[in-house]
Amino acid sequence: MDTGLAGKVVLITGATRNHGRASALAFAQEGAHLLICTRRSMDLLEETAALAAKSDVRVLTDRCDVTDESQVNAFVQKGLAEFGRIDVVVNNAGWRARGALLDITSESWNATLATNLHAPFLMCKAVMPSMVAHRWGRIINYSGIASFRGASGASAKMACEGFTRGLANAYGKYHITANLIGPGSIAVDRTPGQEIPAGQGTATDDIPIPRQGVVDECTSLVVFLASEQASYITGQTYLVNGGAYFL
Amino acid sequence: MESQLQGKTVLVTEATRNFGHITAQALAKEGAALFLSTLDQQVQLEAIRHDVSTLGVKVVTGQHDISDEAQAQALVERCIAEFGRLDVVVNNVLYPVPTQSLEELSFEQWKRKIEVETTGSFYLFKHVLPRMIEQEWGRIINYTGLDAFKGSDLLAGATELGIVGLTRGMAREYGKHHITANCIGAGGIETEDVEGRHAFPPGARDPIPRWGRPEEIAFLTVSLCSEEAGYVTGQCLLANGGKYFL
Repeated sequence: MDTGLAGKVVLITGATRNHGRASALAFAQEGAHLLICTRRSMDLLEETAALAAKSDVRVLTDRCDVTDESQVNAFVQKGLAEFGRIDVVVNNAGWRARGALLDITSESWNATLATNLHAPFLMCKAVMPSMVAHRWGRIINYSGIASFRGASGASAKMACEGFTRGLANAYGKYHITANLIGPGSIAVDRTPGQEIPAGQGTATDDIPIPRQGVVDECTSLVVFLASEQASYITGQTYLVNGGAYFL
Repeated sequence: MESQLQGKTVLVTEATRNFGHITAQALAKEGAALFLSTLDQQVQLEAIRHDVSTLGVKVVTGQHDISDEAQAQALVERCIAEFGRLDVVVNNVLYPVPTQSLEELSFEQWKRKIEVETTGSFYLFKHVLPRMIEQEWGRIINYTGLDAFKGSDLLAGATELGIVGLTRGMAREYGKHHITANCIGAGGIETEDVEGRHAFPPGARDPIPRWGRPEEIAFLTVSLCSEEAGYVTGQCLLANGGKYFL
């Protein structure tokens, strides 16, 4: 399948490891140039860039706190100066508030809102003029299984769904699509403090596909949604969760 | 239908907005005592208090900005001080922002609406839930809308779907205490345009091609408060003339 991504410019937030890195490398293999950022793990980001560059694409890296409006704008402007356009945005950076509502601190709540909701807003707002001017765009945001099964800490991801549907509705006429991927239980490296407490993650023993997923099983969907082939798919949510929840 | 609200206390937030007045009347007719709050519409709220108290129930009002956790806490503490209990929360919170494009919408406007409606709701329930857990009984009714499903307003859609997420979370996390949490999603109600909310006027292709009435939402709210509704939780009930099927 020809994804049509060769020569396109893909922005990925949090591209240091797991889904972010895997997506960056997959897009590079499709011939897309990369604009990637991290809040504080520049060494891992440069590693991603070095790996991606093997596919003979241009990679621009930068430090960016995606919850900060001026940093987001500066990052996007740097990318536009380098590449002249941004075609795909993957708002991969995420942060979960774990535990039931009464266990979530105000700090944790506000952090999850900032990363999962404000950051996609800021990034899309900064990039949209370029997508509109070029009459082409792909926005991929992240939901998750928790929003559907019920977890107070995942409210921000659910709110991002609502925002993404709004983007789909407003920008479809410019050949811009906006969709969400909701990974289920995927084997990933977790930041200390973001581990899933026992009993809180999705048990995989009795789901239709009784195992954890691997990152590549989500990456293929990210690339597909960004491709020319997915041009009639917008405002949708795809759960990659082994069938743990049917949407 | 007897909803068994006699002796129960209901908090209605932002009672001046949308269906707040009619909902307060409907709850009062079921015998509920009421605490009505507003962020900044104290004059309008006093008029509602005066009207609803003629139905023979105790009605107390307060001005609280629940986006400030201390005020959310004070609101709940005042309910308990006035009534000794808090059984039902009808969370009518709304911070209207006109529908705008992504280019027009400032980060400040975006953040403020989310702060009041989403974070405000989180702070409110942080202080409500311990009371309901003590009582081993509770009813939480939140409101969502059609923007969440149609994508017709990217900010309202965000807060409307965010509250669905919070509702499902509370439903799963606190159901064992006989607390239910549900959303009612209104769309096409004749008061919409008055509030500056995105209005959904009736269309010829709607299954039920007319404006909805606020009483038709109040009915659902009161029903979900009942003992009989105790097995319905984490749901989104859309009352929109069939404009969208969930």
